[in-house]
Amino acid sequence: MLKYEVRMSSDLYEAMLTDLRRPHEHAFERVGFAFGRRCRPNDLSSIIYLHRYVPVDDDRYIKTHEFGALIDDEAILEIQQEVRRLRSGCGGAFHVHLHDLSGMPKLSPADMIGIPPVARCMQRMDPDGASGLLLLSSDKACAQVWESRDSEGRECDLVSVIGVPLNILVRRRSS
Amino acid sequence: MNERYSRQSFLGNDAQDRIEAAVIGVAGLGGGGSHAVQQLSHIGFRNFELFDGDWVEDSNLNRLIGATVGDARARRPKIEVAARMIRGLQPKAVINAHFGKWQEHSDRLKRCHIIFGCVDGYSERDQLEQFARRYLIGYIDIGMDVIVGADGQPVVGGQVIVSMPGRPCMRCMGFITPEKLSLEAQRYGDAGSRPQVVWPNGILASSAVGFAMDLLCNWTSGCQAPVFLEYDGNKGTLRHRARQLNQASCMHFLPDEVGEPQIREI
Repeated sequence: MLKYEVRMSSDLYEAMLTDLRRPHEHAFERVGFAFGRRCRPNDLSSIIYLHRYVPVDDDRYIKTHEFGALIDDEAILEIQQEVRRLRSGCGGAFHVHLHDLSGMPKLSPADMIGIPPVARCMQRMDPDGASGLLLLSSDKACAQVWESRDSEGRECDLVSVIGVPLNILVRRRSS
Repeated sequence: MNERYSRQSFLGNDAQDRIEAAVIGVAGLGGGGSHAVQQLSHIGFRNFELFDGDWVEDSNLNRLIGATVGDARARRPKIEVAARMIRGLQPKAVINAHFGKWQEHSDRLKRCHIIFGCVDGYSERDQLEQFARRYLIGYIDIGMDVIVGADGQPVVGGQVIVSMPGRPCMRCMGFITPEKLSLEAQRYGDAGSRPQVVWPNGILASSAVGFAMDLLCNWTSGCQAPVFLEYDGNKGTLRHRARQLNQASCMHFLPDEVGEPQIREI
């Protein structure tokens, strides 16, 4: 079975955490997007390298009590356009948000409703690439990847933050 | 905590999970690489990508950890000796052993989290570091040499370098320079057999593994990078060189230049 890994530098990871921890005027949490490039080192593994993080502007958040954060079409369109501009057959964008507690984060019921359609929107812009979602906690992370016209996200086995320290956030124990 | 690793429990609660999940690349399985592989196997690493295109010879037996007289007689590839050593300690290890230069199997190197560069020459090191930066991999370089000093006495030296994405690289540290690369290119094919002995490689590889463990487990809560340790084998000292660096980031590798290189029409 193909193993998925999302990999990023510690500088990028810190930038995400810093941005996502900023309070918003009315949203309960923040959202951002990270651009990735996919690589298949062999038949058994797929690695997505995140290389750039884009925060969502404050005025793109819609007032709601149903979700921690709800962003408008314009914000999603901007990211879609960027994915399309970078379209390379191995690119894509990841929806990123933070549950600022320790331990392995879990998608909330609202996340499971709201985020997959956003990830699929990104996937459509570069169908041969890889898009998805990245959920951070204060010390762990999990991710799902949509690639090659997948209708469902595939759970990533590893999220690794390469820097000082080098943080391998294990989702499932390797065999 | 598994009883087998109870004596290294200070590394952290989830240290063994991290160790088992990490993919380690070792380029060059001679004097330095064989030490590193042995120690990594003891620690509990289970995912290896090994690269070497050489066979065991009699002249290797003064320093090649794990090699036997029988291996030299059989001209056994060094990757097989390394794989055998790993399996002896980690029967469940996933070992991908590649005979040849790492550049011929570079796709397999992409999945590594840490590469131990135990290669000869500045150009090889330079290429490995460039690759590691491109694919977000920690790079740890070790190497030793014996030269003849001004007074005609042998001088044993070496280095351990830790080069991490986003942090100063070997060029920033002054270890790789255009002059050294140019000089090496002029001498290409003229290197001959360099003197090599077992104990400096042991010191350098042990230090390198120690830095890798701190990077991965952060057990000192203050792991370092960049690291540039200079070994003086005549005095028996290891001295920090990178502390003299006056920069926190790297000016040679851009943060956006990761993953597969992109070709765009302009």
